[in-house]
Amino acid sequence: MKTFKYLFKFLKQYWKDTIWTWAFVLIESVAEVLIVYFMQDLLESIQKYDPSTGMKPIAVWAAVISGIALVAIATGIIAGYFASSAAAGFGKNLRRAMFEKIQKYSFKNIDKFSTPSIVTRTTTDVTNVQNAFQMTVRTVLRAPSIMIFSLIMAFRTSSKLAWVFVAIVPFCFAALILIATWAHPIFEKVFMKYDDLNKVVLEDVDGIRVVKSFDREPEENAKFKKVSDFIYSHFTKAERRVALNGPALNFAVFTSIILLSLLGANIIVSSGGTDLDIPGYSTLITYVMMIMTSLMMVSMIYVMIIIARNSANRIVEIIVEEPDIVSPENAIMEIPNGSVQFENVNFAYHADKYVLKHIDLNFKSGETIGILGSTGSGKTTLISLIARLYDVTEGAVRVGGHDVKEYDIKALRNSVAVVLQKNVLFSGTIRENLLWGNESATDEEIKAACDAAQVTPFLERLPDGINTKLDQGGTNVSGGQKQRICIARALLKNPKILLLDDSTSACDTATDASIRAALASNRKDVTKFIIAQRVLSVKDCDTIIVMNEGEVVAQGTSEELLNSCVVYKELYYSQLGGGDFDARS
Amino acid sequence: MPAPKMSGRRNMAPVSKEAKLNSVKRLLGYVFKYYGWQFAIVMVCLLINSAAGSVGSYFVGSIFVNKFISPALSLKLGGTDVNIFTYQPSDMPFNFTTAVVILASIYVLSLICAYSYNVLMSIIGQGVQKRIRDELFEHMQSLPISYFDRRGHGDIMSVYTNDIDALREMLSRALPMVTTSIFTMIVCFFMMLFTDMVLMLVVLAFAAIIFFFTRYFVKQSSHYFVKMQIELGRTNAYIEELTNGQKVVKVFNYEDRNLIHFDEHNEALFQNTTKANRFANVLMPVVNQLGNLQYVVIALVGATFIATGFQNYNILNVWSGGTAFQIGTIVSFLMFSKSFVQPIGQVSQQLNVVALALAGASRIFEMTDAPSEIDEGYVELVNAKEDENGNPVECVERTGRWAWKHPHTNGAATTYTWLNGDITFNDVDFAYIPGKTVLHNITLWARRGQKVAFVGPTGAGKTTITNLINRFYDIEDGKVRYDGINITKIKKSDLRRSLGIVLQDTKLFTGTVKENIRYGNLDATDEEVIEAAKLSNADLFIRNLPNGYDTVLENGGASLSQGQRQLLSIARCAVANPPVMILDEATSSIDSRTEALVQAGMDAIMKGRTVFVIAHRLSTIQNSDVIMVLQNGTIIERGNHEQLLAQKGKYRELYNGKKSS
Repeated sequence: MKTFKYLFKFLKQYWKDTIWTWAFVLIESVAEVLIVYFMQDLLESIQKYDPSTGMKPIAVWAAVISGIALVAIATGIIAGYFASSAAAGFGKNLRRAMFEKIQKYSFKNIDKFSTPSIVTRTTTDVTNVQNAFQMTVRTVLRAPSIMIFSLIMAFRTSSKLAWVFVAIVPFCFAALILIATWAHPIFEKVFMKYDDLNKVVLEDVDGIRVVKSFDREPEENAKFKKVSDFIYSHFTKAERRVALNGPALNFAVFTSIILLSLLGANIIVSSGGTDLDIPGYSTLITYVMMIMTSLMMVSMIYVMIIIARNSANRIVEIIVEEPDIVSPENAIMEIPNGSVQFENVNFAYHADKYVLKHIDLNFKSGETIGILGSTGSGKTTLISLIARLYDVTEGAVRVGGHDVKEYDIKALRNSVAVVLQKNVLFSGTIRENLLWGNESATDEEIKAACDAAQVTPFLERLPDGINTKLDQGGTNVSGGQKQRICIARALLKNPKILLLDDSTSACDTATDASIRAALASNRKDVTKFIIAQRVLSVKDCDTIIVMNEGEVVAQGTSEELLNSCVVYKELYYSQLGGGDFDARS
Repeated sequence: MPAPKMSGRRNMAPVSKEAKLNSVKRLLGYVFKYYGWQFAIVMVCLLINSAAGSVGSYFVGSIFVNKFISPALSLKLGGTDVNIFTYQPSDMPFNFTTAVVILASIYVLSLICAYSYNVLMSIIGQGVQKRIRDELFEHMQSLPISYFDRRGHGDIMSVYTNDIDALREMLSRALPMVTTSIFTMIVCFFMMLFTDMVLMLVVLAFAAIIFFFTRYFVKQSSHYFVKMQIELGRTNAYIEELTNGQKVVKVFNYEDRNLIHFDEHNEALFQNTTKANRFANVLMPVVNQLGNLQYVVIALVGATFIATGFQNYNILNVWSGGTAFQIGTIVSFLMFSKSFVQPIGQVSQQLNVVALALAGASRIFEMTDAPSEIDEGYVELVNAKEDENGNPVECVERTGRWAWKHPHTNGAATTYTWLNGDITFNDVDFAYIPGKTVLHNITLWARRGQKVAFVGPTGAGKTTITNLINRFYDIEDGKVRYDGINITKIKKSDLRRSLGIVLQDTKLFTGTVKENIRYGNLDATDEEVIEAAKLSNADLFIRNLPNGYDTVLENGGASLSQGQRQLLSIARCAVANPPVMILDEATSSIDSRTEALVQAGMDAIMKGRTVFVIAHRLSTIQNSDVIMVLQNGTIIERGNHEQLLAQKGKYRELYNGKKSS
């Protein structure tokens, strides 16, 4: 419940719409109960029909009821009008609050939730909560108010009989809530199992070549069937419980009708129609229907709230998460130069599992630094610290002489361009993607960046050149082309420091060389860090770092390392015996 | 080169009416075939349950009020003292208490029926769904690779997630509701016939008005809902794309611009949602109040009858000229009108669910109808031992040696050939799409113990050749032979068991590391699994995992690096111990240094087997017995490393081009 209370804060400007909704729902409910109440008068006027007065009293009551019905239509529509904007507005605000918060997340925050989970929370979960709100915003007031008004009116009709309701309503209410509470956990389990089912399918479809290669179809079928059986048995079990819902409600309705009939008939006849008459009896039965329908709605709301609860919790988790990297107060806005120092840096993603150990490095502005090392040696982590994508666990990283923590985060990242290993292009034209680097880049600047990153040669071959539309994730260009666009995008930032994380792995060696040559001649002042698998990509760097298991094991120029570092020597000769055979050129 | 992919997007092509009707037939087919008697009971129970409501209304008005309470009240007002509980008018065969007990019994029966059909319906609904689901998956296993390439994985997944879900929604919710509604209306119709036919016309007229209004309205509002759905799709797609690229957003300081774009989507979604719901929210109040106006009309008409002395005509008394109209009839009708009109709204709300589910069912059946992989092979792989002449003899026990069992149709004795691992291609042509040949005149042979490498530019057809050996695709022309047997004669499952494949894009399954390695050979002991891991150099990193070999891998081993996944997949292949191995860029993500370490193990794994290697890294292929240089689907050069360099052709050009750059 606390979760919902917290979420309702995000109704904000739509509180007004919600209040209006409720106001009109209240009027609508009163009108509906009044219609039933006046139906009694209508029936009585029919029963007491007197040819001398004619149809007039009957017509009057008919007109009154019709009038109230019109009021009910109007208020119902108005309530729906406000309910719509309230619910949609609530969803809008929630989505916005989450998205805004995610923008402030650090890499660590993102890693904590994982990207797919963030996506589900911002899309599916918000839709779930919004739909639940949309469906309950009116009923949450309508159901209880119709119930209460009906009860009051039932007492007005016959105080002797109305106690039947007082006895049965709580019973029915308790039964419905109990059933829902009893069945819901199973449903939850089943729906979680559905995820397992989908996982089996996804892995099977994705790995169909492996499945078929190893002739594992029967095993995959068995795997699937196991989950499928679980879903079947638990689903039917849960539904057996829910199956009590209808009968419980009907039991209440039927018992009321039987009791009202027996006792009502007695009162009518014994009092000679004074304590209760036939129209009164009929009206009471109508109240039974109204009250029980409301009860059913209450139980539906209850179920909906339990269903939405999980989504709501997941949303709140996103909103309350505190970004762990923020700009300091009085932050430095200007990065003086591209020098980089690591001062005894240790880093761990998770408590004391250090992936970087005792890093002490010093680079001058404009240097080109190559980084080599096997998978998992900490290369990517090392350069991530320069752009303050993560904070060091111990020690300090200095850029331009200041600790990166002293800079305004945006100013720092404006000066440090990162070309990530897992890079992403977005749907839109190539030009639009390039403008990510600099919104106001001129055509000349774009051209220059494209030339340097070797984008220009293949742009010319594309039908629409720079205005070619990229599919989501840039799937309609090759891996190497994607990497080159990513580099151009980074260059457009005019950074003081450029971090290339295995950014040319899919480019052939000639293109790779051209990019490095362009960077060396056009971006002399930029400090460049190049992570690579190929020795070729780094061998001309001013200095080369060789990493292993989170430590820098050697540093120096290619010639120095050939003499001093066995690992480098091995790599050098194993690779330079011939390059790659990715013969795209 | 992977086969051409049409689209990974969801196939939203509209489903034709015939297809939907056909789906109804097939769904009913499942129900009748597996749940015949349950379904019959459901129908009876549904009928009784729906009847109870209308019968109750009839009892309250036409019997309680008209036959007992009204006359008793008249007697009382006339001065006679009556006890209503024992009161029995002359035209009734029972007294009031008995009448109430009769209704109570009907109610009890109906409660039992309601519970029974709910339970049975869930068994039928879930059962049918489970059968379809299981059949679908099982059938999917038998579909050819080309089917998966063509459909796209996202599209196939959506059959399981969306279509099966829609089916569930329909079978377990919409169907019972719609059936109950229809039964209620039918029973109510007959009860009205028995009560008063003129008032029945009033109810029918209102029902018609409400029906047409609802239909018109739903049609109109669906236009807004489609717009809303599109906008929701756009907004969610934006969120998904940008969140997937959130790290890029951060490094480019794109957050503020991102929020501006997001707000545009979010606001448009808000506007569309509000509009659609505002429109939709008009329906319920109007329908509800039309019901109330119907009350008024019934009461007015009834009053007129009483005032004018118009007779009460029902199906029983219409020929005898009717009976006097009484107020109890109005009471009954007030209840009938509700039971008759309410289902209209309910059904119309469920129609969308039903339509969606039928479209989904059509897509499901479309998949279960897709033709399976054809396997006309009859040559089997059997355990074999050596007879005195060194020839293979079939045996039951596991000898570790295998032979091809080749029955002959012409009556000759079944022959046995040792499983050796010799592969030959004879003038093979291949096309993914008929007429568009991608491999031309491929002729090659590989003997046991040989390593054959394929090099060449992306799209030259390297992977395609290997896909022909295990018959993921069938050749267009020519012959592929395995140990001298045409591979089309070999049972596919046996053919594939005799081949081990390691793909560049490693696929692991949820489960422990051990289970993933054992996927290659379910009979492998723990020792064999660890042995295979040691050979592929995976042992070291596996031991460093939190639970070693029992570490559970989730999401296809997302927690491992691509290189580590490749090592596992090599181990998986090694444990299968196949005579022929295909390594398709199997070490591409393993850095050169680690690859050098793996090399010794790889050499051990490859020893004594026929190995096909595809790699772009020279060190991987340099020591091959023969290297095939492919270009545009043709082998343009072949020979070992030295021979090819000496040829001064493409190979040397590639080789030197790299070196000098």
